[in-house]
Amino acid sequence: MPITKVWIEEGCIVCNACEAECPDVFHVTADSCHIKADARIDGQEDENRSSKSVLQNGLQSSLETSIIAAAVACPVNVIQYEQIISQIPIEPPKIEVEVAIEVITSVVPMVAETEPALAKVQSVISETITSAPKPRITEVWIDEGCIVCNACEAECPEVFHVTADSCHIKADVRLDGKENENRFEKSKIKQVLGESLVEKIISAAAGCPVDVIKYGVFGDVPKIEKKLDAVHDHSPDAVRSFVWDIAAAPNRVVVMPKTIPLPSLRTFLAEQEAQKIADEAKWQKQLADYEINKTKALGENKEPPKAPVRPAPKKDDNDMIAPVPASADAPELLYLREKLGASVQEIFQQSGELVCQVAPEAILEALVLCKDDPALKFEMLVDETATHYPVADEFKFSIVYHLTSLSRQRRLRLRILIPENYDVESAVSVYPGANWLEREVFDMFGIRFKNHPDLRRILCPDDWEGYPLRKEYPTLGLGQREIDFREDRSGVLMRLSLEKAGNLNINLKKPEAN
Amino acid sequence: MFKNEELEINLGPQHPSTHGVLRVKLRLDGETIVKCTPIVGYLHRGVEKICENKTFFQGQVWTDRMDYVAAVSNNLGWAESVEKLFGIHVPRRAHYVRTMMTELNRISSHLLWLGTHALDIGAMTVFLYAFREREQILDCFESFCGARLTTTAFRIGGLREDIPPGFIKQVQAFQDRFLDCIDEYETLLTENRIWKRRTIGIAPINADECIAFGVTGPVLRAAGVKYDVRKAFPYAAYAEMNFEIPTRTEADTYARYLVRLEEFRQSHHIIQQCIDGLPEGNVMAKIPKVLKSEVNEIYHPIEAPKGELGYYLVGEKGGQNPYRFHVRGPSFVNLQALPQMTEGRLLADVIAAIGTLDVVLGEVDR
Repeated sequence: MPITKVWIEEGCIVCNACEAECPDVFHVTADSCHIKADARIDGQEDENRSSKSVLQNGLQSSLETSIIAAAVACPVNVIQYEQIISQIPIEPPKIEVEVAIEVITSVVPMVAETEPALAKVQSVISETITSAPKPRITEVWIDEGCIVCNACEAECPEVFHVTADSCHIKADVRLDGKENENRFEKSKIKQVLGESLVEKIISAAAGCPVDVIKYGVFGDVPKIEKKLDAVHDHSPDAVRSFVWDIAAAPNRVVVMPKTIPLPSLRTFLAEQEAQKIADEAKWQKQLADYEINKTKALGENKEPPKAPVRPAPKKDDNDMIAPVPASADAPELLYLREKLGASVQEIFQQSGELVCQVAPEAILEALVLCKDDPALKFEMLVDETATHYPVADEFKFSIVYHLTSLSRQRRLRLRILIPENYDVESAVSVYPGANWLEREVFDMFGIRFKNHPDLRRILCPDDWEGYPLRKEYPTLGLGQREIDFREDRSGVLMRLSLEKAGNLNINLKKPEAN
Repeated sequence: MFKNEELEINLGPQHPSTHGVLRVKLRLDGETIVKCTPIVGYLHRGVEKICENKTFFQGQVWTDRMDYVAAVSNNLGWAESVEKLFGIHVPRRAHYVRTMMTELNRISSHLLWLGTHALDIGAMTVFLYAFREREQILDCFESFCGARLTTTAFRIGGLREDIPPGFIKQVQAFQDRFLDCIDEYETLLTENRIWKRRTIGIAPINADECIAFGVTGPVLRAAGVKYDVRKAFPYAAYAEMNFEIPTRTEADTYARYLVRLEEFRQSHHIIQQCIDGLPEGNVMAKIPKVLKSEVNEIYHPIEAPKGELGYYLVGEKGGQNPYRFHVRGPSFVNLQALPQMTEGRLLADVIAAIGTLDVVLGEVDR
């Protein structure tokens, strides 16, 4: 029975189902569904709602089944049509929805005998008509922004399948049999499943932390409130309870040293001298105590105490001989002292290494001398680094330069001690290789170098705060910065990260009022 | 018609030929490089800070993760540095085993370099040949310490265990066929016309520039400077070993290739001497369970496959962990010379230059 007119009532949800069924007639646009110009007599392309143009003669019969299937497939039942039913004169174009359904029921049995392809349509139609339409989910799709959290699959594994980078609507539930986000196709899900899984899908959508699960509904589906917990709470109070306060990090580890481990012959000798005097004093006190106890015991006619024995230095039974600083006898060190005079603060040897400590103002002069003097010829600067001594009073950092003479196969360590905020002369003019090494020292300690060609951070990012190798920089707690995901529009990733960090006890506790 | 304008491109940080996460900012005029700026730090983990908060024994495992293709060399550097800091006397047998392992590691590191460098330039076959032998060395590591890459092979004071039974046989089996393998690589590359066109005269850096930038290792030796820490400042058992320092004077990529190939042969020679002259005795010095240092600072260099690897340690009185730990990574210092080697040359040569420097970004960024 030919279909004469097709039009779209208000309320199209642009689900694309009709175009999938009958592409010759329906064209789903961004906001509505059009009846194609090719199929219409008046040649316009729109919903055909007001003009109710008649279909082309040739198409009226040939597209009958597919138009009916499209109308049945429409989840919001906005596709209306007029049909010539056999032997019944054409009624004026005023058919209501109920009338249309009656028309179909009267038509289908006849068609089904001749057209087995319509058997499916018939069963669907009879089902929809015999039983009252249940509320159901017509289609599900995933918008952009899935964080693959797996929450939906846990809620409703029949529909959702979370892959490595996105979430897919399973092929089993879809009419088009594809498996993807269903973002563009908007393929409908099977009606039976749409009815049975309605609650599961809605709760999965409600449980999605980034709200990307979207669905179309038919009828009055139950409403499930979005689950809110502490992490997903958007209220201003809840967000404020996460305080990004370094000082409040419970696991913050700062190992502040108590001593100044600066190897030096002078200090070593002074310590030894002090130790010797202390030992002697202790021994004298032991002797004096013994004399007093002895006279006391003799006076009381008791047995006198044992005479004290001076303890011999302990000798450990192992293969270790701790290296101690020794006075300098290497010709390089003596030569340096002779050349540089008063700017040499100390020279000594330890562990077979030559150490020359110079005044910080004279470091460039010392480096030039070491490089160019034929008696020294330290051609290569192999290493330059610093050490932080927060406990020391008169200086805060030592900078060491490790020089190597390739021709003479000797090594030398130049050392300077500098206070905080002291700008050291850069060694780049003498040894170009110091460039990156000094950048690293600046990066790690915040020591600035005068006349350095390119003093920027090298290992840390340019906007890093703090200087990691200073002793007051903690190993845990500081340096974890605010998480700023540019793509995280709803701020959920950040909150998730904060929660995760909180579970690890990192840096997220509310500071106690004190 | 065409304007003469410069173009700035980024090579890396995700680029297969940068061997990690090296980013090189290149300013190009046509195909010629006007300015080359290496940008590092993408792999910075703060190994120095971490080791300052670990005991001397715990610090060793972190050294594996710096130059991860030459973990044994890093281990040796750490163990010897701590021994130097404490004045520990290590048994001679341990020194021999360490030397043998380190040389095996040098071969495996150079093999990886050879394979990937050739792959970058366009010779695919060498990669497969090189990894065949590398696999055999990693098997030796596995039977020695149970791990293949992050070995933690040595202990402070010597070795944790003596070499396992059959280990010498396994190394000898490798030794017996390796010299022929080197000849195989040579047939693939040394007289290969394409290889020579891509390497001869490419990325040159002369001896003076090398010394100025602190460049060490095969790059320095290919510029004609006969400097090798193993000879100049002998450590482990190298003082007792008989070997040559291969040098070339051309100072280009091809010369570095030849130097490294010759280092294969020298390492092979050293391993053979270690096997033949392996002394009997203990492998572990007698050291206390808890190491407490005196006030001391040391800088201990070793010859890693990439160049001079130096550890700077400062000990605190009674301290169980280093007060200050600093790594002088050869890759870090050598990479400084990249602009010198590439500026004014062609874009395609940057790939060859990065390959010939043999940098490992784990060590550059630490």
